[in-house]
Amino acid sequence: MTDPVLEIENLSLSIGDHPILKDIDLTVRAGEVLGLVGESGSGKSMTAQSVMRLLPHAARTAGSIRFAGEEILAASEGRMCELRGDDIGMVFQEPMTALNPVKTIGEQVAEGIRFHRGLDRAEALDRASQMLDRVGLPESRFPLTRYPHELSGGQRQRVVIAIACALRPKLLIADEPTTALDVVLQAQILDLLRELVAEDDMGLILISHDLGVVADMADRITILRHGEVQEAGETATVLREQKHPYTRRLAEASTHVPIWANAQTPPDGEKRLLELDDVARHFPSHRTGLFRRGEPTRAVDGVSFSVRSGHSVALVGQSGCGKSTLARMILALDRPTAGTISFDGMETSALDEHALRPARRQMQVVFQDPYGSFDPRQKIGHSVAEPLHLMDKPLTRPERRERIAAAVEEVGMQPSDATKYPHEFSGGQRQRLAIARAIITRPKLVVADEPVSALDVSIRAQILDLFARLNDDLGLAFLFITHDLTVARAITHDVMVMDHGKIIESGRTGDVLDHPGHEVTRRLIAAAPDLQRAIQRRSAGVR
Amino acid sequence: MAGELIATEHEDWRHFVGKALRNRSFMAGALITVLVVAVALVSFVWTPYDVTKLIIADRLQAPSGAHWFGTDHFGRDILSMIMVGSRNSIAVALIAVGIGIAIGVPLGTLAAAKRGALDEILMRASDIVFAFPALLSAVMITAIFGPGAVNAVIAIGIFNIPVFARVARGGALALWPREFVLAARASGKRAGLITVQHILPNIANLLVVQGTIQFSLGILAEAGLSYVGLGTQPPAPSWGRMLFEAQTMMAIAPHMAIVPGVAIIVTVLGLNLLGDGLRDVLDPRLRRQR
Repeated sequence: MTDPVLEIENLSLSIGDHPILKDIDLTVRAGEVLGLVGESGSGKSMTAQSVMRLLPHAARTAGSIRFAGEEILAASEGRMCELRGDDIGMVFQEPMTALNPVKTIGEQVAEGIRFHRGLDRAEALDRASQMLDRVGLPESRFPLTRYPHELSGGQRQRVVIAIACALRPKLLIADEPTTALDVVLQAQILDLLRELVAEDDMGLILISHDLGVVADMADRITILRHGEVQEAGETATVLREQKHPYTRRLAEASTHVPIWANAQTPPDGEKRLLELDDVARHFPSHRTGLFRRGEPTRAVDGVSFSVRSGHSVALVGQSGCGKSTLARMILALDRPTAGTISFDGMETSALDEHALRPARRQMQVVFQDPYGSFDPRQKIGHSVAEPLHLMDKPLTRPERRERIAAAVEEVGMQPSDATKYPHEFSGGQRQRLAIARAIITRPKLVVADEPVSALDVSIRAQILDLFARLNDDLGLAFLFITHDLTVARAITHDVMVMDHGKIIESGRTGDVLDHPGHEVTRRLIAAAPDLQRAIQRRSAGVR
Repeated sequence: MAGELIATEHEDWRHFVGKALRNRSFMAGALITVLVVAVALVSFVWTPYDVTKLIIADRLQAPSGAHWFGTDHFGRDILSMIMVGSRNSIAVALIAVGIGIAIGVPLGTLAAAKRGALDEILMRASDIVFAFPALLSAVMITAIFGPGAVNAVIAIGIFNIPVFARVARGGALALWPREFVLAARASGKRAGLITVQHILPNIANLLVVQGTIQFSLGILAEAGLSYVGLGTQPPAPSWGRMLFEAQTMMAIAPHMAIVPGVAIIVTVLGLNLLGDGLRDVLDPRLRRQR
């Protein structure tokens, strides 16, 4: 067995009087992937930042972090600057903010090479070009003079990885490297990391909240909670045996499927609630001349489908396939370039804002980001009551308060929460309150755009349960917009797969996901991390 | 994390006061501004001497116990004139800022809400106003419509309109794609109502900061117009005209120029410090970096 690249012993960290990490122990060897798993606030990122010594000023550390035998906690800032980016690389979650928007990708990769190796510009750019080639961005197709905004999310993350790995670090820390990407891109980036680890014999710390991803990637796994190590060991053993109750809870939550009465037999929704007929949305492209424009972008291109009342339907596809544009048109926040959308017998795509009111009352929306979906300057009650604006005659104050209390209780929160501000709630609580807002007018349809992808697994399970219960209790129809097939499988009757603005496959969820008929669907299914499958594969490999 | 950033956007009043008390430039700016405003208010009920009475016998006295800042060439007490003059400076600047906010903010938020051709027209129009040097154009306007405090206010106010329109539009544009605004639209709220309920409260801090900066520029502009004789008309005292009158007396009575000059500098400095401090206290992004 090779020598450890990184050894952390009894690492404790506190900010002010708040202990953040307590007695963390972990070891990473060369050529090994260590998965660091935990929910938000568990201290995963703080552990990574301790290794890089990029902690907030107020942080106080104790214990020991040894990198290749050298004590990092005692190293000078000058020494750390030599280590960072040379021997220790880091990949961040958000590829857009991790890159400098006004520098070309070539310069950004070359920067570290010049700084650490003292090479001149031409040599450094040459090395940068080799590295970008290794991460799948060959210079022939992606010139070094490209800027970050000219690349897609997955390509940007490749650039970030190229920067981190340019000097063949001994240790790479990847903090949620794929959380901002869809499943297909996620699978590609994970493959790339795996290759780099094998070729360069790096140690990799892969930080993730997704057990499926870690089970697939990591040789060993460390599970954190509230800044303490809950369980650590070989990935296969830890996840197969699930000895620790917290490990079991995490594993159960990440494969959670709600149990609900309507699951198998959707209510007799003969009535077509929502109908789309040949809907298209084109965006004008850049000018190519003074009076000429290029071909318009066909974000949505001839989509027809219907949703029956009480049914739960998933619209799945990779990012950029047009599903969010479609959702905005269904919600009448945007108008189709061509085609018609009817909702509840009204042709919503042709109505003006006033005539839309009865339709709006019957359809509401839940967004992905639980932080962005509330006005930070309004009390929750005010935001939750917003759709009541659609009632024909204004409610009296007590009526209003009653409706808010009922909606808030429906999603498992307290009526007294209505007087608080959004920042007083956690992400999961906010998502509950966003659902309360969506159901306060008792709509027939709720459109949910990636409603659980920003949530921790245990919270995600609770929110899925809540959606299931609302379908049972209120007969709500759902349209889930998602790239996450496990959501589709858990909570929907029917699924539609979208690609390049078109619906390429649709049918009962189980049928489509078990027997995909289209190449794109197969690719989505193959890319989705699957905990059970990963454990089986690992167990087979270990024996 | 994005969430924390938004969470801190909402500030408890107490939290805000705590931040403000620790911000040195805010405290210094607030202190000076309060002092200047207090002086202006006091001048309504009391000044050491009557500024309309000319006592030629006392003319051009150097600062002394009887006249702290000395007297001018007509024997008027300079301290009293500064006190009464501050009224004019503040009133002109305040109303000019008011005009800028009252017209600029609705135009800016309207442009952000409607986008398209209307946005283009409004922004190009503001480009045109920006293209003229503000003070020169104000001189032109007052020269055409006649000198006086009212016309000075209008002239300065016009140039505040595009400033506030741009700030409001910029802030509003960043908010319109946010999910809470989409949710409000899904609730059937019209653009006007959304602007009042969601956009304005969230850009208020930007406007307050810009307001203090424009206020200080307004005081400078008023002084400039009065200096060339196009602002406040005699006999009402004004800082700008005091400077003008002092010009020929520089050699024999330098205090006549120094005192109003210092008054202008201190007031403008105070307002700028206040604006900078407010921006640091109110803007969560800048604060994060500390």
